[in-house]
Amino acid sequence: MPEQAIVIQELAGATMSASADDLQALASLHTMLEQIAGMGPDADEIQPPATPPQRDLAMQARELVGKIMLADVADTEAALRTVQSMVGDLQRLMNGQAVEHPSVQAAAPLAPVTQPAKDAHPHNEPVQAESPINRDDLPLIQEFMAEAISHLDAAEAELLRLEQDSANADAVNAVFRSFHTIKGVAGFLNLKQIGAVAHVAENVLDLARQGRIQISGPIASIVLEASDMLRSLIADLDEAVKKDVAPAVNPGVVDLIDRLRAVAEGRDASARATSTSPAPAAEPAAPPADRRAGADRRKNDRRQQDTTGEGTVKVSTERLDSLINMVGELVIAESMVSQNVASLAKGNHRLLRNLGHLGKITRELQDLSMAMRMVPIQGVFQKMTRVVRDLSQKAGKQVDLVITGGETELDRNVVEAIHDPLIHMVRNSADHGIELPADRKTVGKPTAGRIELKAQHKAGSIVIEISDDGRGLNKKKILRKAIDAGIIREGQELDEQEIFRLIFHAGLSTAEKVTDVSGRGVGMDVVRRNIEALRGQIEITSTEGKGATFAIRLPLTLAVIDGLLVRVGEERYILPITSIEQSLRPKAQQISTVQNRGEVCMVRGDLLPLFRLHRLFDVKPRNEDPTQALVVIVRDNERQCCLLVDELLGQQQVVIKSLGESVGQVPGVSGGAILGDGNVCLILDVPGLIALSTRPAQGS
Amino acid sequence: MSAVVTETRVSRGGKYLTFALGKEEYGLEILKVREIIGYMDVTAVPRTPDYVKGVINLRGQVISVIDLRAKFGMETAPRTEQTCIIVVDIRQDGRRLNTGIVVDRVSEVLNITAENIEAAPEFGSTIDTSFILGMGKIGQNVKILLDIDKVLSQQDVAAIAEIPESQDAAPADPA
Repeated sequence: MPEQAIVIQELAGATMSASADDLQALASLHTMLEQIAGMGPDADEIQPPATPPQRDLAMQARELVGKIMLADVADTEAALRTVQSMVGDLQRLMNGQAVEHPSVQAAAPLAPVTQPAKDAHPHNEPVQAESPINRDDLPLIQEFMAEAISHLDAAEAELLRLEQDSANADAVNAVFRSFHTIKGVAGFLNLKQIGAVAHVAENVLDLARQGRIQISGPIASIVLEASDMLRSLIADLDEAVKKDVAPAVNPGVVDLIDRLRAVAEGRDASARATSTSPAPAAEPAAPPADRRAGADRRKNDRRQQDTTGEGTVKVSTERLDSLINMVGELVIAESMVSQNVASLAKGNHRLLRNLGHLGKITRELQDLSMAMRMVPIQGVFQKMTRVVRDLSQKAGKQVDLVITGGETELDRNVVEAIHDPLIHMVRNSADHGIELPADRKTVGKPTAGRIELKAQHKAGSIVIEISDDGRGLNKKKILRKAIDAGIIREGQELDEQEIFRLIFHAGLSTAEKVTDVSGRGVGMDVVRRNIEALRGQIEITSTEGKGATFAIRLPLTLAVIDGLLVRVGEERYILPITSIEQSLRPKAQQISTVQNRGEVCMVRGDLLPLFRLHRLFDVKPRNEDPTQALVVIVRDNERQCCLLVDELLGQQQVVIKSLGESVGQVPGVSGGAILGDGNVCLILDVPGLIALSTRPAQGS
Repeated sequence: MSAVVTETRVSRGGKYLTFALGKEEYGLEILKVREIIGYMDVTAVPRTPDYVKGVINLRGQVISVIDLRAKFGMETAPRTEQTCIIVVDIRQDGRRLNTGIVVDRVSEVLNITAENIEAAPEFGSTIDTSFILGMGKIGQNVKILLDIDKVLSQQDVAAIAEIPESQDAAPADPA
């Protein structure tokens, strides 16, 4: 239980440094004043409790702070100055000095707070149903949600650091501050569940701050759990805001709060470092100077945050995307104008020079706008730390996660899309790859396994590697399973890569037991599909007993691809260059039909299925005869096939536009691109096309 | 709730953009209309319903184009000088979305007062009229006022072309 003298000093410091537009600082003022007034939950009750006049003054100050937060007073700055003088008075009162403050004496109805704070907040207070959201608070709530998430991100990173080094006081303080702020603002916005969870978690952290418990093992887990709970409560809140209803009551909250309380009150004896004397009075209070140093540091932190914020502007992604779209349009318009003018302006050197200049600026603008979407991958990697930690603890393994190249930048959309596949793969490495400590010992490896996450740029794409020093892929086992599952035939000859690639097959899982993390045979095929949707590729290298490396190669951006423009009848389509192997004009003897239905084309000794694009898409071709047309050999991860087209029109870079919003998912088409003449051209999706053409024919 | 809906339906007086499909005149709430563009080349999208003409480039945005005649089950008409695309701002599953609709001819913007709008007539179960906001009476003419959100979100709009032309826009009277 905090000492009055310390609290009031902290309060005074916080009041002086607060500004009327800093909601978080105001919220913590609000909380502290509540604490002094004895309105806070019992663990926050100060010693000795405030006398009635002190309490009234604190209540009045608190009310005024509330009004400042809501901008409910005409002059917030002046109101803040009043709060400052009230706190000054309060400080003097508590020091036993007389204070002349007529407003207090007159205004206070002196309704004595008859109930001790303890009873006002009964111990096992059920979490009440949330009250409906006040529409006026919406901007505040939205701001709160965004900030709370970033606080939780920061807190989690620090918690993980604490596990390595539980004595790290800075980390403890940082985590405490995050929860504290969330609690304060949630309380002010009347978000009961969030406030309650953040509050008990804060109590636990406060004990850690005082050195009475250590944040490690089960305590770290429960704090992380609190953080997860806050995230899901915030998600609920977001939902509720969208639907304009009161936030749902999360049934897990009560239990979590109970367990957190148990830790805070030392009922969970194992969780306490020093368990013998919980008597609050006996607890040596930190010298006030220390506390003030803490407050000062807090001030400094805030200042630091402000300076890093300088020079950056938050822009909504929607705006950014539309800027990039418009720049894309500019590039197209510029090339149209250039083409038109270049043919007319023969000999007009000045015009041509100016045109060249315009072109250069346009391309620079395009590069610049693309660069704005780039974000470092570190954020995603950071989340893997948590995944590995939880998983290894659950499985009783020791795993070190080493991250390199976190600063590598890639398109924001790619970063978001890579998150889930990456989690799957890291889980796989930790769950299947790394052996139990005892097993590792017997084969002469260090007991702690090692998973490495690495990102780097390579030749215009980004390569993300997940490698572990675990048991590696067992080729025999994979083959066995694949045969059992009917994916391959007995005795089929496969090279190493082909065997490894089998693990991406739906329904094939080599995990010996099904765990709740992986091994249900759904993981890897989803991973592969996700990566392919990003136009990426996965390569596997593995030595049995030594470990495995999964390398994901991804394009830097989803916005631009190199494509081959092809013509079928009157329609033009774009095939992504990455999926094209070669193109050729077939000779009659290369083409043969199978049972008069399917067609195959013999290319360098391989028989490849031949699909006529015009039949798939129901357009009228120029040439029905394959020997008068062209075949383009394309491949997805697993197989090759030939597509029959009329003509190749050339290679070009195109900006991808989604069709999803307007016409929905079209099989065989991944998007649209706008060509130099302003028309839309469809981009073909090779895996989708292959799936489409191997499906039983539907009248086409 | 349904009473409220009916209320707003009949009292939707205001400005309407009117256009023609064959001999019929239709109206769209002007607030739904983003712009009118001349007919341009539409890129066909394979494997979509036949009323989806395809996609066009609207200043960098790929939007789909719906052939309203096909949607209403009318016979196709040859493209003329007057054929144009009305870009409308529709809502689907809570999202806003620009969509082009091909019409034979854009007529004019009319102010239709609430008292000149009658509820959509009932044709029994054969013809679905749920996408009709009401029938606007302008002198002797009748404009079919469309709820474009519903028109474009419904999978299958029954053949509106079969509405008898002599329909007097009589109020729906079950008797």
